[in-house]
Amino acid sequence: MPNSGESRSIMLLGNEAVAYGAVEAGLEFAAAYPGTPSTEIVETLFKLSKEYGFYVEWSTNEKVALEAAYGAAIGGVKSLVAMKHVGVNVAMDPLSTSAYTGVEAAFVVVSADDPDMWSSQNEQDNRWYGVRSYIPVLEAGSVLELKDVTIEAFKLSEKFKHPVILRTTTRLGHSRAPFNIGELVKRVPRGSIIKNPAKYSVIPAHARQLRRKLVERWLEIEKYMDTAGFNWIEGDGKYLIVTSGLAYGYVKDALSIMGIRNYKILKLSGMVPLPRRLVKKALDGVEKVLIVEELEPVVEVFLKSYAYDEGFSMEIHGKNLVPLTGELNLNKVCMALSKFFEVEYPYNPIKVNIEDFGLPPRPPVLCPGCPHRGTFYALRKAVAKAGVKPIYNGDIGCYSLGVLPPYNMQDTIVEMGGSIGFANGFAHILSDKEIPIAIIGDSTFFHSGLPPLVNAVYNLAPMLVLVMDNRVTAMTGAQPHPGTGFYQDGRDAPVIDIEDVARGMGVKHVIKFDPYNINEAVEKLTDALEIVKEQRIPVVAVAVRACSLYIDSIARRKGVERPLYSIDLEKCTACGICYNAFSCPAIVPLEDGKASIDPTLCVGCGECVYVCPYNAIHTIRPWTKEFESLWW
Amino acid sequence: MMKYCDILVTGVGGQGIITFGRVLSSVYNKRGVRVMMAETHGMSQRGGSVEVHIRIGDIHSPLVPVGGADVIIGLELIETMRVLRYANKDTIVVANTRMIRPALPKINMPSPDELISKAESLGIKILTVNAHELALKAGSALSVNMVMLGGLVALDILPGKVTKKDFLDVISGLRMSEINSKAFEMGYDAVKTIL
Repeated sequence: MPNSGESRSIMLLGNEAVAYGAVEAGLEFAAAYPGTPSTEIVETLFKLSKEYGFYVEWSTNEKVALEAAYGAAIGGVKSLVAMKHVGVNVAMDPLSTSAYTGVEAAFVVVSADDPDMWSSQNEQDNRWYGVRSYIPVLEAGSVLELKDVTIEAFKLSEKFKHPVILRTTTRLGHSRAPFNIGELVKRVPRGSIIKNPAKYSVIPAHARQLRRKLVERWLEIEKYMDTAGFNWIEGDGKYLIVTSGLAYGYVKDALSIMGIRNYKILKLSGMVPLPRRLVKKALDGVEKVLIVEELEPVVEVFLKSYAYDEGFSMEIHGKNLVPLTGELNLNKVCMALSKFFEVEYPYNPIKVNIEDFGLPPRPPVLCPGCPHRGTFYALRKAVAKAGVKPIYNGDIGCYSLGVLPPYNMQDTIVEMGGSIGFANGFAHILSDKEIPIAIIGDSTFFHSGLPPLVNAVYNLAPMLVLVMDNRVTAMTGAQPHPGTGFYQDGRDAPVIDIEDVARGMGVKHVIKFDPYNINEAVEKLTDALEIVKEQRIPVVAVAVRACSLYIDSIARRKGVERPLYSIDLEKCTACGICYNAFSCPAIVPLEDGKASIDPTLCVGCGECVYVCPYNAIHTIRPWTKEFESLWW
Repeated sequence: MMKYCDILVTGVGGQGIITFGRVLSSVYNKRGVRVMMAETHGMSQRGGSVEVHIRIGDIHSPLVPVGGADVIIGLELIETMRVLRYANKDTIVVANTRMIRPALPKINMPSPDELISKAESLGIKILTVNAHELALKAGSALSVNMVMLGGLVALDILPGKVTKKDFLDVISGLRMSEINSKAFEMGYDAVKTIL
């Protein structure tokens, strides 16, 4: 919601503030693969790019995005690449050597970490990546600083012609706070051809030279961190609190709530490399130290080592008082401070034993009208008909929710592309009737499904690869991808067809079906499984139907009326198949067990019609041509 | 004026909880009072539990601490119960009595009255509103969030002397502003009468 002109600041999501900061810093090139909690950075950049001229793209995966931005920065263009923390794993190969070569213009890598794993498979702390790759890491002291620290990341990178990791977290990127927007200037990227192989062609002879220079440059960067405006010492006292990144905000609030006055803070928004001289200055005359940092003891490890080198011998606390797992909050920080300062813990919650309430769980579920529901339902039937025993090798996307009841159809989920990858292992170790079924989304297929599929064809790995193609990168909010046919701003894009890709890779049997037609889906999937069973080769099935949430949002925007279905209570026998086995959130049981469709939730997909054995579900507002035309 | 105010809003994805938070934070930002709001993202669109934390005042971090909420606003009753750990003996809970069935097979739904009396027996101050019914009267089931926002304002504990008009000004910029304004007023009146 836009604020009126009279206010001085506007409320922005942290990720939006990162985008504004980048543009203020003179951004000319941005690339990313969507991933929570990073996605809104580049979504915002898309919006701003129209007016400010810089180039921005969704790339096929994080490695490709990072290479694109890195290449542009070598070409002399200020660049940013953004990804979630585990995306950095994918991009790690080029990133690991980027500090050796350096760049010709600012190159900022945003790593959006996810402490507490709100929407991720792990909570790795990517400050370590900076340590092991000689890349400085900056992290805002609170969401309020996020825009300024983004600008500082560009400055630092530009000054040393060196990559910089800007670490954000779910709590920084997904909090809203007031920001003042500075001047934004239009910049159309114009780079140049670089002929400097001694720097940019990292053959061993060059790499050895570059490594020596890198170590020298690292010391210069450490000195910069000593005096940079984003690191400082405040207060005075015998007790020192060292804060890394967003821990500063929690510490400030906790000290104020607990009424603690005599303390000194070493506030670090640039903690890799740890500024040695500033640390020494902060430690001087101190009796006791507490390091407050989220997740790993990155600052603690280095600070303790420096303290030893400098001959300090005070008590240094860190992970003995601040938990190693999960995100920080005021409770954890207050608890650590209460032990450190020996003062009372300030909160006294009412003791609630939540088990006593008998509350049903409420995990995220597949949306009403989700095509994946039909595919899972059909796949279960097909598996029974074909007489195979499957292992479901799942992947990262909305369909990961197939792990939950009533589907229970994701036996492994580890990382992007792992579905086909794991199936390559299971394919060669199971009996003939046991078949790996790799379940992967359209965007994930382009991201990292291609190499393992080539491997399956080459090594004759019997498996069913089921691509659940809902036309967009749905999990992160419906961003387009190479199979979508349009760009983020709506312009037409070339379509890379998944069936063609599979055939081009040598897959002999490629089938396609519409999951909204469940009967057809069962038939085709049964055929596919039988081919895998009998011919012992990989088969690809593509379930094509756009994300219903996305279509629903277009329908609302364009004012197109959705179809609507209803239950004939005369015919309904209260069998529960539609709300238990099929489990659409729009179908709810009445008191007598008969089904009822909630018209505010029903999106009119009609999948349930196929599911009801008693023909009790019928349309009361049928599909119109207008509604049909929204799908592609 | 209180030094700061910690508000926790909870409910189910799709109930407009983030809009609730954005209206509230916009009112304070317009007045130049610092406000921070933390949201759960990513999977919240999918009908899961959603928490929005709003902190107003001289603060540097966005999360309401466990045992530290001044107010808990619950747009759905099961979710309201799920976050009671944020309450202390002075916390005021305003809860919509409506429950939304989680889309899971074969679950047992608790009774709203039992839940409320269990919470009260622990010493939690809980005010209940049939926000769903009021929202329908206002013109749309989707305006439950504005009914509950009206309820929050009616408590008269928000810092900085903000008025009903400040909120209605911001609501007038929303989609379905007439229905939403009406829903806000109805929520305000409903809570005023039970205070």
